[in-house]
Amino acid sequence: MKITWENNSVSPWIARRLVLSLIVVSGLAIPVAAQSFSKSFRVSPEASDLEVVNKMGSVTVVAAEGNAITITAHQISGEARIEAVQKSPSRVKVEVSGSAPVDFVVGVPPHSTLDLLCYKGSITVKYVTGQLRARTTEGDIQLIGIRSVRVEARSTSGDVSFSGDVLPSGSYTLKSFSGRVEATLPATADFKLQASSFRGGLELGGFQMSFNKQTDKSVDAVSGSGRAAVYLWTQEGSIHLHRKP
Amino acid sequence: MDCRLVVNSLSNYLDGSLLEAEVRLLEIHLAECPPCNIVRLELAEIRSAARELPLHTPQRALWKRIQLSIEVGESQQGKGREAIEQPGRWSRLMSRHFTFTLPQLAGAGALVLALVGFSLFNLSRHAGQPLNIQGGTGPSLIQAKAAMLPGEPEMREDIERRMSILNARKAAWDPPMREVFDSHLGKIDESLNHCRRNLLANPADQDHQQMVMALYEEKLRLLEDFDKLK
Amino acid sequence: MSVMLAGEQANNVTVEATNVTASDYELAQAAARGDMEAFEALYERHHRRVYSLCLRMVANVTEAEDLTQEVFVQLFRKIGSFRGESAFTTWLHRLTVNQVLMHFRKRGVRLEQTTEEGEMQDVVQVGSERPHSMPVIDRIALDKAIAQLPPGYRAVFVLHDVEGHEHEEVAEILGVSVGTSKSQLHKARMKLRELLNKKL
Repeated sequence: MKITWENNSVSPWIARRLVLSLIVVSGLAIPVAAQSFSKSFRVSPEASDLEVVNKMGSVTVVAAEGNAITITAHQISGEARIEAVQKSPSRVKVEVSGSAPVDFVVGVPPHSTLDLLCYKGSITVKYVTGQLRARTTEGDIQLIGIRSVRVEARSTSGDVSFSGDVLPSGSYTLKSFSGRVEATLPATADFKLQASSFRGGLELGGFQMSFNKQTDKSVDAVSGSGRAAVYLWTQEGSIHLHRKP
Repeated sequence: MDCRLVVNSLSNYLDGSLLEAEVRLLEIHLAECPPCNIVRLELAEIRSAARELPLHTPQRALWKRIQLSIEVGESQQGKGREAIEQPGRWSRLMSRHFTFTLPQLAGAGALVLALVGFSLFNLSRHAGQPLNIQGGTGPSLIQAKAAMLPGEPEMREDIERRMSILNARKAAWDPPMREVFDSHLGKIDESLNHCRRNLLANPADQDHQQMVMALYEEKLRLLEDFDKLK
Repeated sequence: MSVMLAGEQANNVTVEATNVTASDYELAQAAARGDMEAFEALYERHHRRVYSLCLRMVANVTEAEDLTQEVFVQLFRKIGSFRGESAFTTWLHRLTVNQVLMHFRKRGVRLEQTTEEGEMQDVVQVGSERPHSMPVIDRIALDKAIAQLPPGYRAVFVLHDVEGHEHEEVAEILGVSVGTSKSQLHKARMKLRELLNKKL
């Protein structure tokens, strides 16, 4: 930064020091401003792939028409750094370093494959049809209106809920170490079920099932002809299967 | 020889595809040029480490998905093969048909009675003694070894390897991240120890068997997730 | 489980017990006859190797699992054609590599692409500033560094250094010349060296 002075009654040396001090003091007085981040990537129409590695903060992904992955992030403090990179025509990776929370809202083409990770924060995904993997250590996971052939959602301490369709040959794994695991499926859903809760109990939502195995802690059953595989697991929490009308 | 030319030839040198004359010139240069020699050592380490990379383990549910795909494929092709349910080795065993003669049944019954009697005798001898799974011989070690589930040793090895890497990096993590990691890992370990103790007492308990493997997998996935975070 | 006395007629087909020490060839023969237990035994023996190869080639867990699934489904369909002329592992390995290459083609991944952004500058760094500063290589760090390589370098490095193919085989698999395979391997190793040194 260059400061130039015309002829002035104040000594230039003192004036420069005063200005610099004012800048430093005002910098200290103003709290680190919340910032916004916004980036958009054009992806190929046949396939798109998003990976988000957050640390603290929420990740919300919503299907949106078009061929772009649009990432916005809010309430960032200066201690968080976001890297959003297009790794290939179909693949975008977003990664956060630093210690401050970042909340993401991302729009993706509906068929996108998603891989979402944070250690402290909730994850919400809505209306996608691509394969989906969501993990958080502390936080809830909500998957809404999903119509995907492959879903994996895992929280160590948080609730995991899924509502959507189960497709033939689909695989749906919902796990929480200490939270509640909940799946809402169509009444006509055709699936094999393996469900285990060590402490919290299981509610099977009135699906017509034939049981290969049933104890107070685990169930191995089939609804319909068992064309999809649904795996629900919790160690400490409870499992709830609901039927959509 | 020019350093740039030497470095560009190092991979071929390490792979043994240089001519003798080229090797001689290169080695003369390497003997006199420490920086180039360092590059050679580092490339050699990468090459050697690549050969010893560990195998990765996919999710256990993958086998189920493969089975389903095969079943769907077969029914679509109209082969008329019955979809085969393979929920587990125990269930397959339960669905089998066995044919025994009377003397065979009697002999099997006598053997079972003898084993039960021997186990009861040993239990009464060892009642109150702590379970030693660290070393030594005897019923407690046999019991512990017998309680090791298929796939468990590999999972434990994988977990130990990842733990040692993460422990080295933990010091550089933010305190909140370290706290979340330690606290949740501790809870999983506590549950794992509880399930394992139950399994040692009752090795045939399928629920505890499933829980133990599920907890190992949970622990492994937690370590993998934290390994990805910066 | 039903237990019958000798002399009773069995109504159900008795499944033959699978010999746990059976060779891959024997298991493949049994699987070709419809023995799912034999096929599962083959899966148990080989799935980690298949998955590890897929994972290192595509550097993505979800894609690697999907590819592994496709490999084993293909294996099931083709297992009747395995005649034992080569080792089963070699046959399965080739099946896996073919699936990975098909996956790259479907996704528009160009293996001749050696950088993420245009042509790579010559990254020959002659010597390190610190004498032999790379520590004994952490295998997990190397795995992560491999995942960061551009697809073309990654494919050559995995096939040659990790899987042990000769350059002639790598060249044939990837449809490049032997010279290209050698030069890409060198650049892959130099890039890995750079990535691993950055971690210090």
